[in-house]
Amino acid sequence: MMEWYEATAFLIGGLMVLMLFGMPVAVAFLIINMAGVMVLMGGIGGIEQLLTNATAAVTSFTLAPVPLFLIMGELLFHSGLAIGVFNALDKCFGGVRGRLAYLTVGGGTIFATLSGSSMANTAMLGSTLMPDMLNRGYKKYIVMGPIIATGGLAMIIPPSSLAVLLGSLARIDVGALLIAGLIPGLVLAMLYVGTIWLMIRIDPEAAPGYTPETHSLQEVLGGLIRDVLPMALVIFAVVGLILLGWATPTESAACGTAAVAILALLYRRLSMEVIVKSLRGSVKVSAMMLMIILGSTTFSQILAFSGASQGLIAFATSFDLSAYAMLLAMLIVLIILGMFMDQLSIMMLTLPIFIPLVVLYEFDTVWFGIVMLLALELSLATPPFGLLLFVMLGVAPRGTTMKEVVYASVPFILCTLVLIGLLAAVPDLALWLPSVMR
Amino acid sequence: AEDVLRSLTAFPSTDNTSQLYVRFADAVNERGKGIVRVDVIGGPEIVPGLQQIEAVGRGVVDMTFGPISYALGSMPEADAWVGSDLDPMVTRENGGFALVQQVAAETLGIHILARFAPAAPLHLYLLEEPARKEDGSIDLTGKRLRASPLYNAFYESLGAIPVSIPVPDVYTGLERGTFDGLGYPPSAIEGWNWDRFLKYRVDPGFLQADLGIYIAPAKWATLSEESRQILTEVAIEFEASSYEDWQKLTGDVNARFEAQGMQVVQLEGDAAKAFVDAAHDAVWNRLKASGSPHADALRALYFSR
Amino acid sequence: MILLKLYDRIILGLAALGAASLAVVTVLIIYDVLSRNLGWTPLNATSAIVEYALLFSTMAAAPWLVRINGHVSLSSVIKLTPRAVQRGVNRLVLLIAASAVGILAVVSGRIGLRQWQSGTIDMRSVDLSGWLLYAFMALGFALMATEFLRMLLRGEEYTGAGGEH
Ligand code: NA
Ligand code: NA
Repeated sequence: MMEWYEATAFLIGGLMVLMLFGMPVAVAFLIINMAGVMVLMGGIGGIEQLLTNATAAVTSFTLAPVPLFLIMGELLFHSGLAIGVFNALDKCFGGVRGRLAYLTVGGGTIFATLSGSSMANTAMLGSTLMPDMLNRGYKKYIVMGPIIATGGLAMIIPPSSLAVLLGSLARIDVGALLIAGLIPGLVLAMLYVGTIWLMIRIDPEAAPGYTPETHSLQEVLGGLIRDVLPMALVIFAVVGLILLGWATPTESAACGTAAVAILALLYRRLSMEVIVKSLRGSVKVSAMMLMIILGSTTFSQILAFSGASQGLIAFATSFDLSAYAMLLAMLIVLIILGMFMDQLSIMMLTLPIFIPLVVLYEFDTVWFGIVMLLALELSLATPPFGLLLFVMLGVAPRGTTMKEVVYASVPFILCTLVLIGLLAAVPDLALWLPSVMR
Repeated sequence: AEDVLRSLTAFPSTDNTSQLYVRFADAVNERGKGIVRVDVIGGPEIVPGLQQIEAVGRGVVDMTFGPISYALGSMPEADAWVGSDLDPMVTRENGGFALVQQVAAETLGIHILARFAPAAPLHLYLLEEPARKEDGSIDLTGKRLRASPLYNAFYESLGAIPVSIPVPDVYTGLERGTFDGLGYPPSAIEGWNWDRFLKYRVDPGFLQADLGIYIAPAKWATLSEESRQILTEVAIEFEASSYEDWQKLTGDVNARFEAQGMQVVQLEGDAAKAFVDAAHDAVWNRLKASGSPHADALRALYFSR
Repeated sequence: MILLKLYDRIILGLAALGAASLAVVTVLIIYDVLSRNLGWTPLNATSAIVEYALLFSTMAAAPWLVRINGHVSLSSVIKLTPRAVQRGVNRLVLLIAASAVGILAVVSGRIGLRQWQSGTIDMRSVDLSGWLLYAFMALGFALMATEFLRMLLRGEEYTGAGGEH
């Protein structure tokens, strides 16, 4: 049996080398998985098991929002409904530099409340907002950063399937955990807004300047009523139907898609060509993402099988630390594992060790749950294996490099770290709402 | 040298059935010091629960603990455990266990060590009080119950509509009344906090869990005679003790629910019998319909009603 | 040449089928929601079909994605090396990728065949044949392998830069 650090070096080192040589990310995962099971599980039986596990990784109903939100985003884009919204808002907020970047945060936050899926959210915003914003003269980083960032809001603002799973695995009150995410989620969105403001102050060229022409009130209002107001129907189709108990959070993505299609039809923008283009764009991104999910999910299983993950957890929590140092150690473990593993696996691996520590050090479990969700969310955006980075790279225009995507996401990663700091200083940010809802 | 078995569990390690299994492993390791050791290396984060029996059949892991119904698609005879109303001590005594063991060796390529049965029943839990028919039975016509391939036939026989809801969506679904209820073991309900919304429990419970311990035959063959004996001995002891422990646990959980205001919808007499019979019939009919040559023998060995 | 044309049609046709299956998923889920709330006859098959469509659309579109450079790859580091090294490494990448997914195709095929012979059933919201998912993978991986080989033989390079709309 290999020691855990040897297995880690073999699996992660091999993956890095393959990726840096330009191997498609999904195939790189598959190759290192094959090598891993050959060594660890033995021969063809290992590869068979890899494929058996792969079928389970992708044929999960909870992944359905990925293609569904993509179709919704593509329909918004190809039907021209999205451009209508942008134009109307441009007229309305013409004086605000970087207004569409703020819109990304606003719209992203709304969609985050709708979907429990960060990846679906990022892919949808990326394919809807990005082409148009670049056309209007926004620099890439100010487009990509907020999109990756708000994608991550999806799992902290309720509904969030990840919060439900965390609550159950850690025996934390699921309802309290869901509600507790609301205020930190909104604070995080505000931090994003502040960051964009700062970025535009530092680099005013990042966003197009003031529009010289002024619009009559009538024109502005007309645009808002014609192009922006109907979007309320889309939001109702998603959030409203969940609240009414008509649809589950997973199904609501399909309802949103239907609402967009109906709007496009009413505005006479739904041609066969629009539908075909939208489906083409959706299958392209969804197959790219699901193929990576297929490879990366099985990769985390092999990492767990090798004992590498458990070795790291045991090592990091073996020291006799003060409360906040132990919290820091746990966060570091989550962030490191998060670079390579899927979030559900991380939770199953770490919670049996973390929760007793949380109890021992007398942290509030709901509070810890929120901090943990933030760390897991962060892991989706951290290089080298952040899935949101790959998704962004996949929907970004030709010539976009990983370096650009990573740089774009750094300021927003820092926001999440700041929020974790704030939560440590003021636990009531998370705990106040559940305490009054009792 | 000491025999070492690396074992998985089909449910996450925080699940209370997984914790029971860890106690089993501890007991083996205690009694088998220097002879045999079971290392529980993890759960579905290593191999997804549904795929673990296949993994044992291929020999890529030595051992696993989980529901045998996860292999129902390859071995229809797994329904014998799902539809049984007898405890594991009885079915081991009467040869039922040996028959399933033999079928599993042939079709799944696994050695079954134990029918490890936290064998307390499932219950129907509902958001609202169900209407009663004249004969005292409950009227679930048109009610939406969370679907489960194992129990859909039973639900449909009650007039209910099975609806597919992924586990992470169940909490929000119950909160918002997207569906009307589900059939589940009480202890698992508690872990998901679903009892917050499910205000009615239908008594009696129906069927029982179908957990077992499975070992790769190639691995079993390499174990020393002494190791096999220790594993089997401890397994038989736990079959008995866990059966009783689990009935107590289920009773405790249901009592906690009642203390928090959950109401019991008690079926009496013929209505109760018809309800439980329907659950069993759905399972045994499915086994019969599969065309298994062992269907009748298994029913005779595993079912007393 | 007719064979090559037919092959091209298959790659594009499968991608189109993959896209169409996503449309089917959308419609099925909407019907599911409506039927549950309006008392129409529900379709038990919905969740099983949706789950299968996720893998089907992925495997059906994956070979086409190879062709249009649609699988994301990282190129920043290798671009720092001399052109000749880049070319050589890219050849090697294509060869390794083709072999790896080729092996996965064969192994998927073997499992699928065994499941077909033993009549294994995948119990979801409705029963489906166990071999189906493995057939999707065998097909998808095999055609990915031929697409990587096609690139290699035509002297093309995989850039992973196909993210154009
Ligand atoms: Na959310
Ligand atoms: Na990551």
